Amino acid sequence: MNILVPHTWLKDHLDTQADPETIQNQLSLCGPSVERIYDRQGDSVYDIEVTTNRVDSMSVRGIAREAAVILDNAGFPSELKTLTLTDALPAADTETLPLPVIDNSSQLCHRITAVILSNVQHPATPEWMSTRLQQVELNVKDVIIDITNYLSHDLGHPCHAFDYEKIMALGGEIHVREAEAGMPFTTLDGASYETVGGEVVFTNADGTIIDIPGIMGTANTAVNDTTQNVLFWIESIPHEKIRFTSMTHALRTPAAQLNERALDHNLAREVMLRGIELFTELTGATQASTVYDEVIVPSNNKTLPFAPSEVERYLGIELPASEITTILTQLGCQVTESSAQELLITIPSFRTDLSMSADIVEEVARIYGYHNLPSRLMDTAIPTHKPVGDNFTLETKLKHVLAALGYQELYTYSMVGTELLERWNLDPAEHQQIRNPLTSDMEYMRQYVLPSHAEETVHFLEHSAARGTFELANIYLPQEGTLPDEHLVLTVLDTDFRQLRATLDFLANELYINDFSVEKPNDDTKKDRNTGRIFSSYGIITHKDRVLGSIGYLPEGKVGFELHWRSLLEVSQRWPEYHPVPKTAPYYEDWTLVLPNATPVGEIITALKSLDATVSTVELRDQFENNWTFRLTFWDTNEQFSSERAQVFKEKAVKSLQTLGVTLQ
Amino acid sequence: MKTDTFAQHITNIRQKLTQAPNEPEELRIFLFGKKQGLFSEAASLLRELSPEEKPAAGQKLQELREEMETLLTEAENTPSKTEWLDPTLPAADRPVGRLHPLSQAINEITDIFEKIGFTRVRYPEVEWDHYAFEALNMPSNHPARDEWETFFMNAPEHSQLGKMVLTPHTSNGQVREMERLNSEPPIRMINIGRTYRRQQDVTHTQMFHQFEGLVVDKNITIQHLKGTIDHFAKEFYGPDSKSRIRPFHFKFTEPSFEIDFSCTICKGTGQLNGETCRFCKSGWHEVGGAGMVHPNVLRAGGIDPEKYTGFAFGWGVERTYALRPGLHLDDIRLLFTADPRFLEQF
Repeated sequence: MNILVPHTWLKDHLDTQADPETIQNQLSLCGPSVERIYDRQGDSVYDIEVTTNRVDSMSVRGIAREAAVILDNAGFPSELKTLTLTDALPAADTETLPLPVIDNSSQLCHRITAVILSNVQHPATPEWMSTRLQQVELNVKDVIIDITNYLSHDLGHPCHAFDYEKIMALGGEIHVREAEAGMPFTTLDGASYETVGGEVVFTNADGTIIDIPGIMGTANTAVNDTTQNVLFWIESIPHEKIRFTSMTHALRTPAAQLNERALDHNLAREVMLRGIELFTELTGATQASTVYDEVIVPSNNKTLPFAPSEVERYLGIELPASEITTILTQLGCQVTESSAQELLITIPSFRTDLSMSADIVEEVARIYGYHNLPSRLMDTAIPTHKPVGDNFTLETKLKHVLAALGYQELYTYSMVGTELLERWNLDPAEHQQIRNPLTSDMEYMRQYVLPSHAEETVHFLEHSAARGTFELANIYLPQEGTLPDEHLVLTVLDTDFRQLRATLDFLANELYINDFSVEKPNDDTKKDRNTGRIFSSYGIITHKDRVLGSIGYLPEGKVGFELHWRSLLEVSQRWPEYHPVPKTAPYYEDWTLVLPNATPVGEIITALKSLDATVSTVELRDQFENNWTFRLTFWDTNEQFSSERAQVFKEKAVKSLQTLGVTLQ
Repeated sequence: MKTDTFAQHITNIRQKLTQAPNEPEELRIFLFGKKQGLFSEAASLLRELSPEEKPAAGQKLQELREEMETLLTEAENTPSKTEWLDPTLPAADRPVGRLHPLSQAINEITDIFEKIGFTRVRYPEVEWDHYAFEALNMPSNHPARDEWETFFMNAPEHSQLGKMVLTPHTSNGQVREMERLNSEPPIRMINIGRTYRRQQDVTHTQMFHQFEGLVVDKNITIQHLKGTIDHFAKEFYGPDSKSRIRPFHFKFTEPSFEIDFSCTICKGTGQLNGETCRFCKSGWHEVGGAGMVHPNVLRAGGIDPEKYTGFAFGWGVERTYALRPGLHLDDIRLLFTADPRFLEQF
């Protein structure tokens, strides 16, 4: 969360000679990060990021408190100015108007502080205040609203101004309660809502919502330019309740963003007294009631033992206990020495983020300055226990191989929608569903990469210099009672089946996988949920009896394969097997066979290969109509292979292929 | 004739090859001319050999022939010095593939950390709440754990590990890595993976990538975190790159830091052509978070925080990559599309 702080406003709380650039640099290194400085209406305005645990810094005074310590330690003498406040008037002098009946719930509201301010006038907001509000990008409205916004920005606790007469007209009662579902309310900007149940709301005796506390007022109790009496109000609602209501109804107001953190309600006193001062001064109001202050859950200081040796353990340098004590004292802690090795630290209530030793180390370290620490690499032992099941080097190698073969790598989303699944005849019910998807096209974890990959590439290949695309990404297969089976799939998409097949062979070669083949699916492999379902026609990629993936035809003239990476890793070899180079030469012969229509060519090649151990390769060289020319390479490593021997095998082949209707041309 | 005499004959012929002409047609005649070609000359003596000597001699002759054929092929494929060649001819059409920019970045990140002893790991994307949040010291009411920021799975809760979520960060690998190593440091992990958050605009996608470093051992201090980050900055962005750590807040580290790298575009000055650099914040880029591992996280991984300390960092791959000069991506969503106008630039 960010806060804007004008330099002049900061100096209301901070005594320093440091210039804006120094303040920016020093604060960024040791505390909240000053991301930018804007020049607005003649002043430097800091744009400061405050971390979510440091809600105490979400005000001009909070930043001044940090800046005083940081600048002072960096050699720029600085001090936080004391906040001088006039005490509220005692009861005897003020009770002219009755406070509403307040019916609190200890679980839902930890503190309520309120006062009635009567005879409010409506002059224009003074220029000094309107300028500051504009500098920090708050709209200038009615003086009453402007005072509450100013107070919140100045001191860091939201506050609210009710129209007192409206509260009284609605029955004069304020009940703190948890909403049921379906309760209507209209916020002061005129937008209408209904509760979902569970929000903390203020109602009157009839159950009408009269405020969304800590977030936004409602129209029925809002001040306007005729308001005469104001009920000036500060409450402390549990922060998780604020976040729930604010997120549920998308009411992300500045008040909600403060109140949804662990804000210290001890600030209420300062805001109340400063508020009475400003209302009196700027609107001519008079205090018309005693200050009501009901603290149900007190916000107290905590104490923590701390060993100064912890600083050395984290920083690698030794700091004397006296220096540690000085830094912590400057930050508002009280430090006493409980023993020679231990300090006892009392933490101020606004530092809700400090609860253990490491937190104290951080405070000391950041004020000392991380930039003052040396930078060096570890000199400890290098771990050698590597994980099993992954081979990142091989993943990278294969990606480079595919890119060199002309394929473009893609990254597509892991999630898919119902429409896509149905287009690919996949059942959404079989997929792991996301309960709260952001968009309907990303509702399920995919079980195939090819569908979303292929749809993404509809126009890609027409306009690209690549021959196809590929992706190595996880799929997610639901499992009973445990996390989905999540594993990598290598997907390659092409427009030419034989080119794709060549790519598959090339990859197998790179992985030193021998004995792999592509087969027509049989009854068993058809049942395998991991194969085939996304293709119009497909084959199973196997190694011995193991299914590695599937390859087939896709819509719109595309072809593709999916290989299961872990299966590939299991059958791959890290290096090839060497055989001495034979003394004999290979012998080639081209045979042209006439195949009946729809003969699976792969089966013919398998049959030719199995003729004899001397058949080392069978390649398809040419095809015209039903005539298929294969080049057979015979290689007998013991003696030179002759044409006479080839003739014997040719006759054998003709005989064995006869049953398939194959003849020799 | 004796076989060794024939071998001498072949050697003599081979010496004559040194006088071979360069012009392909002249070379063809020199080698394979029917009457005066060297091969004919070599083969002529074969007739004088006995049948027993012939196979060995034939083998030698065959080797010579192959050598001569190679010479001729080379000559035919060598452009003549006198032939006109147009060096301005365009390249032949060949398919061009590329690695995705994210893979390029991930490969570099992996190499940079492996060089200093980190082990790359991969952990689940669909994860239990325990590893994604609970073991990382994030209380049940932490905003990251609510359904506005994190994707929850429609699946039964695990009795010990809680709800099933899509991991919003690679930090889920921290306690998993401690468990993998049986809670026995040293640990130097680099976990790179897909992460998911409920957000989508020009600078955010529902799915993105992070890399997570984790070091746990005895005597690990903030100095080592600074050293590791400096090493990465100089390797990834160049030797002039600077890094700094600033106080920040994360539940699973204490102290916590924001890591900044000096802006590569304005060279860390915050000014570009006399104006405020719009690519950075006053000369620095926020890259991501880091910190000393929270004692509760070490405990969750079975490691004694009194004996060991450690640091961790987790940054977006997309963002880290896009901070390189000339790689400012105006719309990060393009990374997950197949737009050749985008992809073919990398």
